[in-house]
Amino acid sequence: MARDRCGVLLVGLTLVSMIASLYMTFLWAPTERTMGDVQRIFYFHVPSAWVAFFAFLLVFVFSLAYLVRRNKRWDNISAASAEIGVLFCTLVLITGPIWAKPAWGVWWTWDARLTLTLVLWLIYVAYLMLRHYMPDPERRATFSAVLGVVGFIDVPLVYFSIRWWRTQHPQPVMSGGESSGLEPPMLATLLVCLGTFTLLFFALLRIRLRLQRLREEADEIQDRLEQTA
Amino acid sequence: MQWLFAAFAVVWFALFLYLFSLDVKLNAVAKEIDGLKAKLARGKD
Repeated sequence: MARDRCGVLLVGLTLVSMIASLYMTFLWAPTERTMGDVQRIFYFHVPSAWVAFFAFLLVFVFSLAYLVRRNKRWDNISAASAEIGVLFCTLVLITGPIWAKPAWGVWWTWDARLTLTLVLWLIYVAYLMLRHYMPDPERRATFSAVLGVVGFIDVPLVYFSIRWWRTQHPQPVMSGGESSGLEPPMLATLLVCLGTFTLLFFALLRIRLRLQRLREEADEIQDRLEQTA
Repeated sequence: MQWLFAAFAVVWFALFLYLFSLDVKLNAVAKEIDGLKAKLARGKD
């Protein structure tokens, strides 16, 4: 019962903050001088990237925990988190080019940030494929935990790529040196959108974990049926 | 403006599609559990 209340509260909060984010993104945040309205893509491009990074961080932490403790629950959280991470990383790779075309004149360029983000996406798609095609649960959990730990190396590379190499991608807007920074209303909108996407991540994670629990319950009953037969 | 709405539509479409696929899978597993439980009960009788 308490779990249900928590879920309802989470979904409710997510919906309310979604409405606030939409209002702030389209009506409240000022229009950027050089790019115009297309810059508003920033308010869901950056939060999508943040959620993808956060999801892959959870995959890293829970994969490591699984390798140490061999607790199936940690493996389940890693799997669910990776799936949602891939979803948001896909959104980054789609909304980025949609923004790049009017801003840079090209859909895609093979610079460090973009290429490493594509590599990140490929790593976690490989992670999901590994989970899908490996039949033995023990081996699947161990192999994917190793990939979940090793694959995370690309996350800091993606994050720092715009500081380490000269790239077409803009420099960080926060703590990126003297020329970086956002107008207060833009910063407030970004922070609200970051909060919304984080809430959305946890709401999706709850649903995805529920699916996993039901799947395990079905497998257990199936085993009992086979034993009684 | 059309670029902004295109990006926005992609985000909503992807989220909707993912939620829809989760819902379909949840319903399928719930139905499977009901069927298996009924089978198990029949076996015990």
